[in-house]
Amino acid sequence: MPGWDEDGDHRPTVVSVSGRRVVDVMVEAGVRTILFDDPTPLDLACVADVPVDLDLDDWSAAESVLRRLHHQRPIDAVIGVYDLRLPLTAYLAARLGVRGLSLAATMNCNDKLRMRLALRAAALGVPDHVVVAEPGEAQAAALRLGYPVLVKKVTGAAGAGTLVCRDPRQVKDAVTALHDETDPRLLVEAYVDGPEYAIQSVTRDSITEVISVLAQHSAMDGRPVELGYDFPAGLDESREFDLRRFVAAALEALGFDHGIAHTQVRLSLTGPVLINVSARPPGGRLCEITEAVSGVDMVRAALDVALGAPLGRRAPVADHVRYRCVTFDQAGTVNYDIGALTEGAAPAPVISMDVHPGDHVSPEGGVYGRIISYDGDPVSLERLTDALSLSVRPHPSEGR
Amino acid sequence: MLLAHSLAGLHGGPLVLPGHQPAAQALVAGLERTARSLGAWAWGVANVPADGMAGRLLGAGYAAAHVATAYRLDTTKATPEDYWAAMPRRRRGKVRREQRLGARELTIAEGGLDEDTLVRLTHDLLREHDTPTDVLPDPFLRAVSRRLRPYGRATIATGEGGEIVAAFAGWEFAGEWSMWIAGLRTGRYPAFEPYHAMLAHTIEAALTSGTRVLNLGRGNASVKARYGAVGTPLYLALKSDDRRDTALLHAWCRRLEARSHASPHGLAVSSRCC
Repeated sequence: MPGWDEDGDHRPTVVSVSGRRVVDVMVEAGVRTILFDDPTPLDLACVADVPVDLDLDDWSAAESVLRRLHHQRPIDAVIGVYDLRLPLTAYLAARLGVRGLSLAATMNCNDKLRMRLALRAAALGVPDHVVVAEPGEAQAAALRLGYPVLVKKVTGAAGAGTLVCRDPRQVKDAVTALHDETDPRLLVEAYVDGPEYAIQSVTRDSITEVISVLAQHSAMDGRPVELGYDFPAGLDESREFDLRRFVAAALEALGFDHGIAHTQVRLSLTGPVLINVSARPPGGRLCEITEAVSGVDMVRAALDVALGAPLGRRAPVADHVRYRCVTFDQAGTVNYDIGALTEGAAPAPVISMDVHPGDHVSPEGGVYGRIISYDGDPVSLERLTDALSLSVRPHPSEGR
Repeated sequence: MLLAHSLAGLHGGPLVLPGHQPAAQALVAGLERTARSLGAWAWGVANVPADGMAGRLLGAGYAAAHVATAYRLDTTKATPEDYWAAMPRRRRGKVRREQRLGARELTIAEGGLDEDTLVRLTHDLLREHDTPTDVLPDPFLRAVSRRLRPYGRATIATGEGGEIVAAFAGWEFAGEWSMWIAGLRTGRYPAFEPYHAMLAHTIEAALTSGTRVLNLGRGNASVKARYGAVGTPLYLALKSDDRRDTALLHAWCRRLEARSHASPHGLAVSSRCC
């Protein structure tokens, strides 16, 4: 295997538990890369120094492999940026005794009930909620909390495991739709009204630095869907300071010591309410815009934190971002003209579509692409959107 | 491993009154100190309800597994009439019928429960469910009965000859009435037929006696939920001073919780009555 025990190879050795982007960043950073995956994609196997295929649900087996590799050549850190694999990542780091995000913090983020318990114990705002397992319990809980409510999986993917319900029938349907035999628990949660913010942060030695605050726009109909983000977030200095402080306190209450986080907070009339914390970079292209406005690449930051290295930081290249998600309110065949990217500003605007012209789209499909303008003038985003000439031709059998 | 079984003691029980979280924290701190002085490699608390105490333990790095659920009913907001009226009509009709059938030839009332009867009925019920009686041994039941007598509130079912045939043994602390132990003369009622009638009587007694919360304990989730009780997860919380060992505890709790969720009746619990 390349780089296994070659003399003169003094690169730090880091294990990545899954991760395409992580491997790219590790290679670019000159790190000896061990990749644990299940299975390892061929292209990544060619890039990683030591690709290892293993059952990532078998923690004991993963630890045995890790120890064997560590015995052959010491491992300096274990990192991961995928929700599903974060507990294993933290477990391996803890068992080996190397730096890594606290296992307790990952477990608290992985389970929304635990997250809310830990935050509430620290006197931090969380939505009122009830744990249920059956439709009748859920309907009774919704009645107590008041409609609308959100029905959420206690563990698992954030948006995909959440449904907004406005009446008992929808609650019953949501419980049926979200039922999972491996964990039958669901949270029925009060809807929190107020503007929402996405906050990106880096925590080192239990001290959190917020690196970007974005105003978040979401549609709360059926399955919540992100519609877009703005930077600056439009908060005055004092409110943004309070929000940053709230997030730092929340991460401390969850046990964060070394790692990165993407946190969503709503500002209700009674104060900030924490909606979710993910101990990973944000999805979509939020990492890209966070890097543009802060100079910090969050994946690289995760590696720097794990290695105990200074945080890599470039000069910010944008002071405004308008980010819009492409969603559709009718089903049909999509068409657009990607030749819209004609502007020469730096950083260049981005139109990134996940579907090709001629593909089928629907309102239930969520986000199909993103349009990002770094121009302070709101008209530029409209120009980009117009130039894309996005349209949907309904199928004869599909109405709105 | 030094494990403190709470017997709901950290939440509205005999050790800490409801709402006195600093006292619960002091007890946990004492447990940690004791574990270290005894050389225990780990320590923990069983049956921590999902409230402020559980949140503090989770924030402090405890490994945790949700392995049981207690069912609690808020009894501050209704009269008995309002309570029954608020229940969906069809459900009300069904549970009322169950109550009538189960209470035939019985008198259901709140009353005193002597130690001998408590031990006999409790052990009868445990045996019926193939549960070893040493989970609630004779001396323990007698000590609990004797020492907590000032707080005792039991619901008992008495047959026509005056013999007690079923009991919910409970205790109330600062407005929280917890029905912790159930007993049954199993030779006469193998399926706990008086259960619905006793539950209804207990709820009405709570609604009319200034009780804030009626804690109906674990098990029989679907029946308790039909009566409006809300599930409160109970955690097993474990920790060690060593990061590597705590990681093992997290992994163990993760497996335990997965096993618990995969079984409709939780972990190795056949069926329980209270």
